[in-house]
Amino acid sequence: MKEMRKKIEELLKNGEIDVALGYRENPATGEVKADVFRKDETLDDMVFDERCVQNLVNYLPTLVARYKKVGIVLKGCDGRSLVTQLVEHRINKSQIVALGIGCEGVRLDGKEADKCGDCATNMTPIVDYEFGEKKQKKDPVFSKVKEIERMSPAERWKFFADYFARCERCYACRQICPSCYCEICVADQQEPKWIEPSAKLSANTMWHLIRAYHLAGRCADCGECERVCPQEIPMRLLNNALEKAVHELFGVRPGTVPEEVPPLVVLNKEDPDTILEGKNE
Amino acid sequence: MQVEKEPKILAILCKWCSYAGADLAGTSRFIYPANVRIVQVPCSGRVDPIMIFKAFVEGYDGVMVSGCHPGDCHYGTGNYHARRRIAVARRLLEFVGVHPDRMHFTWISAAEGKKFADVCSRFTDELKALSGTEKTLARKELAT
Amino acid sequence: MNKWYKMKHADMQKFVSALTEKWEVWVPYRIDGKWEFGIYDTGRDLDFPESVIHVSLKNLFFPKRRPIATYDENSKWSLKPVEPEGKPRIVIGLHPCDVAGIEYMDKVFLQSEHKDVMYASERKRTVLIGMLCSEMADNCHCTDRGLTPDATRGMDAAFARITDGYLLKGLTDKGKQVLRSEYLKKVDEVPDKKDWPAGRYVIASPEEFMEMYDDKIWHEMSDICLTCGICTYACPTCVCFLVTDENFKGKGERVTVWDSCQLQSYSRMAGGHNTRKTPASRVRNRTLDKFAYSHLRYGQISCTGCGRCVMVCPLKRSFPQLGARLTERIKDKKKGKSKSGARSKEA
Repeated sequence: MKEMRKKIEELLKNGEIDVALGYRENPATGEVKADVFRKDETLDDMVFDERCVQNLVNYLPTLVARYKKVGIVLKGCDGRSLVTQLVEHRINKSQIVALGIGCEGVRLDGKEADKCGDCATNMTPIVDYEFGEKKQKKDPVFSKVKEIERMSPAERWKFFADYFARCERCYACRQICPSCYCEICVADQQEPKWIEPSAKLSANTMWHLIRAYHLAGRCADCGECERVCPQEIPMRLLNNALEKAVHELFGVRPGTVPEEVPPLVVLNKEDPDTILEGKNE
Repeated sequence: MQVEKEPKILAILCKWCSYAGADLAGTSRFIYPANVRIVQVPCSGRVDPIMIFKAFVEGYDGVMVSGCHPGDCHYGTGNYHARRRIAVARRLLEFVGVHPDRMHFTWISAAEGKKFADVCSRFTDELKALSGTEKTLARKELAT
Repeated sequence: MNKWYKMKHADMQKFVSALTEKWEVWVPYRIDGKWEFGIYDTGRDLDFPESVIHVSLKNLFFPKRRPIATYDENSKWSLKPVEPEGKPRIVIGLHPCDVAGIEYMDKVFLQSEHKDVMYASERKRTVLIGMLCSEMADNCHCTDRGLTPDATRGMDAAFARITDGYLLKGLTDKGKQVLRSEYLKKVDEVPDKKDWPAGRYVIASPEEFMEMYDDKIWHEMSDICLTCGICTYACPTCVCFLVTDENFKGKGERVTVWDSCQLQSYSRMAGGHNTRKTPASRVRNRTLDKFAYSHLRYGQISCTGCGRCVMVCPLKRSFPQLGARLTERIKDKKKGKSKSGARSKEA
């Protein structure tokens, strides 16, 4: 951590980056939040530990528009989500200085965050300066997804319907997601109105299905949607199910390989027709 | 009412092959169940999975999507895109509890009127076999 | 003369159970550690939180989704208004900030040019029995918004918790009628008066806020804001709604649905132009609406100091703190101005 702070100080001082995006600790409350660090301030309250849950990539597009060069502190999962953004040409790599840090897992509500159990890479795949220990790549297990897959269709629907019914449609999940950046979201469209604006089960179901589907092959499992949800809807389950599906169908793990194009925007003539068949048969 | 118990099927067909195939089934006087409602799209690549989601939420018993055989797409590659998208959409729907037999994805060419009729009959029978199971996802609001 | 009556804890349960015969009774419940109002069923234990209830009462008077008219194919799609209906109801255990929120909604829906029939009916059928807070929660700052945690303004009846039961007092005729009960005993006790801490989030005057309209600070403030809509949904005084038609199989409903000025779609117009496209402009709208516009329109700022926006914020950002920060900026600006003014005089 000390090395990283030093490095950022140095980069800011010699003008290699204009601002640095990192985590700031509020000494009075002990809370850690994402914040922008500038040249003329001390970096004493910059931290990196298990409290740094936020994904900073979501703030990049606005910063990149305002500054020439931005330094960003990246955990493994944030790094994967940066990869997905670079592939989609939302951010230009030449404007980014990636400061990767070997993440030891983050804590949420007093216990290790769920996403850390399924973490594929603890170090960002794209990195300019590396700090801390880099662990071996591993395959996510998705034990919770498998749990759902053991249920019958009716049981699955009961499980999800209970959660979908709670949704208030505040769209925090959409707003926090680095990959959700449509100019006009399908949920806001008036004509055709695919998704009714009121918070009721049928419309909420439409919203959660389409949100998950639009992230298929693009979601790098940073877990922010689930973290910010005020109603605690397990959105990571849907994301993970599709992550698993995309890996099984096309052999892709989004975000783990730099410059790998999302599987749903390319075609492969060699895909077997069997992928169209139901899985449970 | 007896009519209500018949399953309702939404068939999304591409204009160049599958819709023409359905046309041929009609002109050739092949008999297939009247449960199928057809939506014509320019290409199976036009099929947005939101259409499939909406069909289930609006209470259809089954959804069928069909396009040209791989390699025969009028626009070259539309059906390859469709295959990937629909494969993923299908996994998502199965995951939240739609019975796998409620979805049917196939390729029907303009010459395969017989295949269209067969597919429709088979799909209708499959859905009839599912009539005892819950129609998940279907909306309850305003439905009574 | 002392108007407070005493009731034992066990009697409170019996008293509320008896009320359910004639009324629909709403009480706070704790669900997964969060307090929320629900309809009382006799079997459940009654408990009241010391301080603010997590989910505001707004939904009872101004529901998330409310049909205002129906239509169907048979009546040739002509609109049939939905008649307001419902059993008389009692809400027990709401706090001074909840009442302040309802008072503000009254101003919007009842005392302005157009009266909201549905709201009026919901309001009319409800008796409010408030509870005095015994402490201030982490995010509470009603003392900075002209309230105190033990204010009884606007309530039909009020009660306070004491060590061995409750002290109750009827304030309006409606409230006094509800409180006519055998379990009440006349006592000499009165609820403790406390000194409530104030000054956490003192804010500037509405006029001063209006001067900040063109300031650069809004960009700074919106830097880390998601512009999701949850703070507006949780806020007891956010009353924006959307009217939309929802159709299904030959019939449909025209409904009002909560809307939020923080969402991009809120100010998008026909043709695609959006008057508040940037997060900064949306954050400005909400901040000024709470601290300035509301005052200009209804003579009262629309922040009640309940702190719910902080509780629900996905980023745990503090909206009141934002107001305080703005106030500081206003002060700084004024100082700067007077300084420069002084300097110009000298020169």
